Amino acid sequence: MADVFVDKLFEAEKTLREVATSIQLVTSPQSTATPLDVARTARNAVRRLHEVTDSLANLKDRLKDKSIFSVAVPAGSDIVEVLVDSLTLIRIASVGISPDNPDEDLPERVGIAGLAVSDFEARLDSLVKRITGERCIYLYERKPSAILNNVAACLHRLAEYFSRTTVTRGKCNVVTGSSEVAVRFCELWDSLTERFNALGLYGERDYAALKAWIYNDRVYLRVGSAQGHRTEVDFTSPGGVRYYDEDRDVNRIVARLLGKCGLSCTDLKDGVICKGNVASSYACVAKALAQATSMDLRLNDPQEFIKNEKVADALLRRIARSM
Amino acid sequence: MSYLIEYATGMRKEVGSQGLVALFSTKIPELQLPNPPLEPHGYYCVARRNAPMALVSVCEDASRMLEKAFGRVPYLAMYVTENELRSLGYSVSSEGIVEVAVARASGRFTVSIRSTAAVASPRQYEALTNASCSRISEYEIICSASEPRQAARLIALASGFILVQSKPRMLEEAINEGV
Repeated sequence: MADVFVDKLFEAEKTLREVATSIQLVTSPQSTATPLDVARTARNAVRRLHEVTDSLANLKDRLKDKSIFSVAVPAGSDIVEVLVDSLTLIRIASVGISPDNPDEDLPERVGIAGLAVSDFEARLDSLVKRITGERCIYLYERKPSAILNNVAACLHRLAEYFSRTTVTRGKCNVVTGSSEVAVRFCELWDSLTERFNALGLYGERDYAALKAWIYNDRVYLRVGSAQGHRTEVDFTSPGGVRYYDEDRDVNRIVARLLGKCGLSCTDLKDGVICKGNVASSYACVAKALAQATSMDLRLNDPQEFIKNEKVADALLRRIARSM
Repeated sequence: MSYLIEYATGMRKEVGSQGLVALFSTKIPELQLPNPPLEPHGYYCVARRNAPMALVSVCEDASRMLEKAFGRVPYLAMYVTENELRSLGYSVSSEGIVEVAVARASGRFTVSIRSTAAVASPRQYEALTNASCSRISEYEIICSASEPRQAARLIALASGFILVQSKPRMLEEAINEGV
C-alpha cells in the first residue's frame, strides 16, 4: 500500500515538472511558439493540473478517511497537511496560467481570500522538513512554473523519504529508526496472521488486506478488508491501542482480549480504545489483534472455521472447561 | 442422514424435552408408536420407558454437562432406545450435523462420533475423557469408555461443536487460549 502512496506522489511530481517545463518553454525569450501554441499549451497545462489535483485530493481524502493509506502512511496528519498545501499551491498556479502568458508573475496575494503564495510555500517547506528532515522549497519567484516546481520538489522529497527509509518484513513496513519492540510486535503479528490463515481462520479478502507500518514508536495495522478496519498501537508511555471497527460484537470481544493483556479498555461504538503499557505485553496484544481479523465471519458462523484439527482440539478443550 | 436434518431443523421451534418427546415420536421412525412412550430426562434427553438405566444415566449426565456449558439451546437432542443412546445436533448456519451413538456391551460403552464438519483428534478426546479413541475417517471417531461418566463427557464434547454456534465467543476464547 505504501508503494501506491509513493507511486502517486512520484506520478504527481512528474506531471507537475512536465507542466512547469512546458509553460516555461513557450514563454521563454527564445521560444518560437505562436500565440495559438501558447494558448494550447496553457489549456493543456490547466487540464493536466486538474488531473493532478484530482489525484492528490483523492489521496488526501483517503488519508483523512482513515482508510488504507492512513495505515500505510504514518505521520498521517502531517502528510494530509502537505497534500492540502500542495493542492492549494497547484490551484493558485493553475488559476494564474493565462492563455496569452502562462508563466506570468502572480500577484503577491492571489484570489479573493488574499492568499499569500509565500505563506503556503513556507508552511509546506516546514512540514516536509518535519517529516523528512530536509527542506524542499528553493525557488522564490511567483511564476506558476516556479510554484509547480516547488510543489514537485516537496512531493518528491516525501516520496523519496518513504521509499528510501522503509524495509519490508513480511507484512510489516518498517521505517528506519523505529523502536525495537514495535518491530518485534509487528513481526510476531505477521507470523501469527500467517498461522491463523493456515488454520483456516481468515476470510480470503481479509487476509489479502493485512498490512502494517511501523513508524518510530507506533505501529499502524490494517487488520481486515472492510473500510476503516485499522488499528494503531502506541508503544510510547503511557501507550495504548486504538482499534477501529463498527461491529459491536467484535468490539466487545477485542476489548476483552486486549483487557487480558493488562490494558484498560473501553468498548466504543466505532471500536475499542485501550490504555496501558503495550511494550510489556506486546505478544498478547499481537495475538489479540491477529485474532481480530475475520472475527465477524467466525462469530457469524463458527462451524465454518472449525475445519482444522488444531482449532477443533482447542475448542474441545475450551468446551471441556465449561462443562 | 436426511431425516435427521428434517427433525433437527424442526427442533429449532420445539424447545425443551417435552417438545422433543412429541417431535421425536412423530419424526424418528424407530421411536414412533406403538413403542413404549418417551419420557424426558433432563433438558436435552428423552428415553423410552424400557430403555436401560445405564444409558439413560449417561444421557442425563451429558444433558447436564451441555446445559452447564451452553444453556438451553434448540439445536441438540438425545434419545435412548432399548439398544442405544443417540445424540443429534444441528447447525442452522452451516447446516452441519453431529451424531453421537452410544451402545453398551460387556460393561463397556462404545461411542461413535460422526460429523459433517471437522472432528477433533482422537488424542484430544482421550486426553479429556480418559477413554480410548481412534479415527475411522476424516469425519468419524470411535471411542471405547469403561465408565458412564466418560461416555457422557464424550457426547457432551462432540455435541459442543454444534452448540458453539449459540456461544460463538467460545471459539474466540479457544483460539486465544489454545491455538
